[in-house]
Amino acid sequence: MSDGAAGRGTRGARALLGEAGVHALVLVAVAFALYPVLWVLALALSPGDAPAPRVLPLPASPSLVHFAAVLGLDAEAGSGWLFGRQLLNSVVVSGATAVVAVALATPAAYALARFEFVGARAGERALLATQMFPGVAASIPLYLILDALSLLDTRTGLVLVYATTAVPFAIFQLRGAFAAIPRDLEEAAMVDGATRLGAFVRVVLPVARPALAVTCLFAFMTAWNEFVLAATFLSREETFTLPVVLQRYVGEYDARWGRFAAGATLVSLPVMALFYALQRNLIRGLSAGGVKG
Amino acid sequence: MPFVTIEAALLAARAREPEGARAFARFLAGPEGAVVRARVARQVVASRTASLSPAIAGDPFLAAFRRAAEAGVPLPTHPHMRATFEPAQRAIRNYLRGGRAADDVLAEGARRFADLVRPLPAPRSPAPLLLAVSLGLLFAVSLAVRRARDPEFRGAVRRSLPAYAWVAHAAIAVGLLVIAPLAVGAGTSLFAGAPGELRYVGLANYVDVLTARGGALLGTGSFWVVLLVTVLWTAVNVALHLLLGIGLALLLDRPTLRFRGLYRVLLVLPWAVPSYVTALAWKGMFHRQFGAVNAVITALGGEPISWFARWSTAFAANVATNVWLGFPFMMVVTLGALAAIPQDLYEAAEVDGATAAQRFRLVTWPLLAPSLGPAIAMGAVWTFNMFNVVFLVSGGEPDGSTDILVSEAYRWAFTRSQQLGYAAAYAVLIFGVLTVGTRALERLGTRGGAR
Repeated sequence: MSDGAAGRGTRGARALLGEAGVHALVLVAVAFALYPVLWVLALALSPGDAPAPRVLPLPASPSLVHFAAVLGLDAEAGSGWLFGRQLLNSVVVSGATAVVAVALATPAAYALARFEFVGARAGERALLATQMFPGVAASIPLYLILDALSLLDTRTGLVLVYATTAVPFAIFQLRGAFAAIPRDLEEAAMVDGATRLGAFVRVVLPVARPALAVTCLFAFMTAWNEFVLAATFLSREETFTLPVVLQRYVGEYDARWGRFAAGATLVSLPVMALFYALQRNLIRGLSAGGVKG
Repeated sequence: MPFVTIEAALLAARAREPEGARAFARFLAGPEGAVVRARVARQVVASRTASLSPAIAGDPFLAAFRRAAEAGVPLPTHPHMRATFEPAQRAIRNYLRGGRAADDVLAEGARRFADLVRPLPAPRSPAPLLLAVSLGLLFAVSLAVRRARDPEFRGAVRRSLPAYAWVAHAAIAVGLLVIAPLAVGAGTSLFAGAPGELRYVGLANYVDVLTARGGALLGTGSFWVVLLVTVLWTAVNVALHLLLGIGLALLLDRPTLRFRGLYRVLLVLPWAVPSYVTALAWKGMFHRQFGAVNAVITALGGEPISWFARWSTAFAANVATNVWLGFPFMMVVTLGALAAIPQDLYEAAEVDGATAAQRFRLVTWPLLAPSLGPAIAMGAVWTFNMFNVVFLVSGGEPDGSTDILVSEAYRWAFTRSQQLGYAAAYAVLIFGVLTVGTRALERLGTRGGAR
């Protein structure tokens, strides 16, 4: 290859060499990005709990025992129901968070995008400032409040906790989406005799449907991936969400790495697919505001 | 799970027959006594020699317990037990690691123990607080009244009324869900005690945090040391994110490069993985025995490293994890900013005979830098609050020295005898540091832009 390049003169050779160098650098970065993911996959497929150290992330003798164990399909009777229950917890909590957040945020975001009113700027700025308060630090008052309402260790309590970040996030995302819809659409409807509310429901909402769906999915994903607050507020196995289950596999007093890896693969694959489908929207939303993402 | 316990016999100082009592205690604590207890009462034995004695070795119940105990880990079950257990465990670990005198390690453990069981600050009269709050309210009300008299303002409010119908429910929800917890959190920082028996102590928690509870200001676990570690953590991570992110974006931003779409998809992968999974996976990769990192080091002929035994290596492990997780964000933002630079600027520069380096310095960088500002601010806030990585990868090891502010606040609230007021003071201080920090970053950004 280098012979042919030299034949075309030094300039061509240098360009080709430069191109090869770029590929080499990028490939090193790709290896760095892929290695941990492949390592977890290899761990998930290798039987046994104390795997031998390996440089190449390939399973020694591939088997699905860890997947079966996580799903409760092995000899331990009853644990299958437990995993199903925990999966249901994650789905219910994340789904409820998404619905609550979008339902509360939609009219407010529309008002922020369309109306000028006293307190709009101040309210928006206050909302942005609260997003800087780290979620973990907010866990202290949330713990006290849930304790007072006897909502510790319940899915309802966790939905309320997640709503504290999901609602502001949804407001910022949707405000941007509504602002991008041309005013002429509703104004035409209102000239035709529709009220503001009628125009909103019949004209704006259908146009904004993709943005609403994306916001819903992001709120769902964020709740699905949340670990600390769930680990802090849930203490019974039946109320655990999946991140807590996974962490318990490799917690302080346990080290079942194979099961962790298998569980992590199962739990992450759907949200990773979702992430790839939605990433352009996420990046647009991030630049619109909302520090936490 | 079976428990492994330590047995002890106490001897009164003025016992009438000290020799006999001592012999009896020795019998009770020794293997013979254990065998008698096991045979008569089937009480499990803690001593290995006793469990092998022929009198009881055949008992299946005791044998099962022995097998379980071999894999058992001592575990505190009560907050008070934890208060002694945690400092003792750390002291033992620090001593066994070597390089430190036993007295020194024990003194540190004693200080930790004192921290956990320290008496609550004295209760204060809430009168000054009430006075300040009512003065503040009075001031706010007078401001509101003065504004309400202003006809222009009243007109604006009247025009806003229809909009309020749209935001009212969200405003109430945000008030209850977002603002109220923050207010409760700020309020909690003025109280001390276990949940349910909080009492008002004024600013004592803040004084305790900022003066390191009377210890050395730069001693282990002092607020100032943790703040320093957090700032270092943020600076190192953001710098590496920028270096990797911008570098890769510049490499990928050439239309002639083959596979650039595929490269982009693969390089974004770390962003797609949930951050707690990333953290736990890297914790496994840094595992001393089977971790991939040590496997690579041994394959290259090096010695395996105990990553979480020293501050420098534990910090490096955390940084490696967080760089992996964060560089795709910077790369994607940079790619977006590069795509927005008009192509004819480059062509004009080329016509003027600018070299590649000049084109970068005179065209790319000036147009790229301003659009990176918000991303840098966002990345800095994320990293500053990156609880998952620190808590799950190093877990603060060794000795809490890699903990950052948020994980330290969390430990005070939930793992160290629930000192909620103290932790809340930490949280308020974190909020303050972040507010001041982002303001300073913003000002730096605008000054840089003006230049």
